[in-house]
Amino acid sequence: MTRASELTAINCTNCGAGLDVLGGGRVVSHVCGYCGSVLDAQHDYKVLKQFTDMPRPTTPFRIGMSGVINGVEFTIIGTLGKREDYRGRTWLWTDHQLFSPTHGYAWLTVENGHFVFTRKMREQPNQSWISSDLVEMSDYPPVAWFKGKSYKYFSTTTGRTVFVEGEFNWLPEVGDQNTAIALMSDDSMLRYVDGKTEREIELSTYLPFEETCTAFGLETENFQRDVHPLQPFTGSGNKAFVRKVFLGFAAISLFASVIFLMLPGTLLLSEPDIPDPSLPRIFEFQIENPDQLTQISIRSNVSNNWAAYTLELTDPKGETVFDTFRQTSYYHGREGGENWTEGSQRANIRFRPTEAGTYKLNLDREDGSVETRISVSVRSNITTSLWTFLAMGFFGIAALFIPNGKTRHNSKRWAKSDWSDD
Amino acid sequence: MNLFRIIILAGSTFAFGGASYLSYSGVWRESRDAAQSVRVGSSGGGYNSSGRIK
Repeated sequence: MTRASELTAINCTNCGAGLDVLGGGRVVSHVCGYCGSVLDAQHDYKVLKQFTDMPRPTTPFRIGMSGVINGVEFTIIGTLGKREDYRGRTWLWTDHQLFSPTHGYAWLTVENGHFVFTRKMREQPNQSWISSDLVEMSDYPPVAWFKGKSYKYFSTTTGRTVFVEGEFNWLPEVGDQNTAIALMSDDSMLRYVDGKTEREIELSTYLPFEETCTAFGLETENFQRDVHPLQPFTGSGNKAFVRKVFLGFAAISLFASVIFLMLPGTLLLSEPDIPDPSLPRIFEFQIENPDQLTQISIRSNVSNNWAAYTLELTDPKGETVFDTFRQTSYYHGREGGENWTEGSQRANIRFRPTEAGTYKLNLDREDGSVETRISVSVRSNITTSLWTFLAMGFFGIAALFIPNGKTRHNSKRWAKSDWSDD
Repeated sequence: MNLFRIIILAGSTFAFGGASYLSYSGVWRESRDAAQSVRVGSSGGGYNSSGRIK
């Protein structure tokens, strides 16, 4: 039996108060907002029962308000006050039943100043049902897939009805309880609702505050007190961008540092295996690119001894570039069961020639040095990874100090999850 | 892309480019005694000259 479609208003059959009829032909019950009587909408609005002393929930919406949600005009036809008590804490929220002549019934939930839109699902996710027992027994948070999105377990809620008013497409009762297992993706929530008489799967999405208020003609200040689990990140994303850019440049700098570390430079002179006694000796090499860092390397095969050499370099004009010395000393042994080495068989000197031409290196052995054999090489275009390493450090440290707003936002969203690995 | 992002990207590119140029040029890697052009004498060698005392 359905109700007459032309009916737009009734008088409460208990208290006589005028009540608008807004909810379409599938409305089963109508709860009078004045006397709390539950009227049977399918049987001439006869009184089924009466609820008294119901605490009216906090909500800016009233029955009869209409607004467009996701392109569909819905009318608020009913209000449920819901409450959950768990371990000494209490959560309160308000569910408004919505009706659209073309799209049927849905829910608008108000919780801590946030608005959430919920509809029953006609299609099923890959997990057709998740019970609270399954959640309790799971080692990992249950996951479901729906339309290419992954939903991860968020919470189990047992809500109790404490207030009813308006029209509903079922028969609500004060004291009714249902348990909902909620799984969340980035922007929506699957809820497996185990009610008094049936099981349903619902899909919830977040409604932007300002737009929703405007759609329903509300003039209320934002009273959001926290981050809702379904609330999208509304930051500009600039911090995330800067962080990504800095991390990217840190990686590029590291790569460049490795390249500069491996570049051998341009070989200008290579004189291997020279016996010490042949010194002093003059080595000539040609500089074609002045202002590039140039390195003279001496490698001796000293072992547990030292050898020092004087180096005098003259430029193409015959003027002294430098007159200095280098020492190779290399010691090694075994002590306490461990091998040790000290010093190096290699010595370098780096300079920056100011003009192109032939340079002369006068190499001699210092008195007291052990006689050995040496190799001499000269390379230009010597690079250093110092600066790119510093750049890597700068970019890396800067990236660490930039707070990632989206990550922090998501942490707040998931902070309310009741999942525990225990 | 907004102006802020363009500035960040350009600044980072400039900083990396500058660091790469300095690295390629080997800036600040010259031996100190090679720039002074003065005769530096040897301190002599030996096992203890490097500070390893037994």
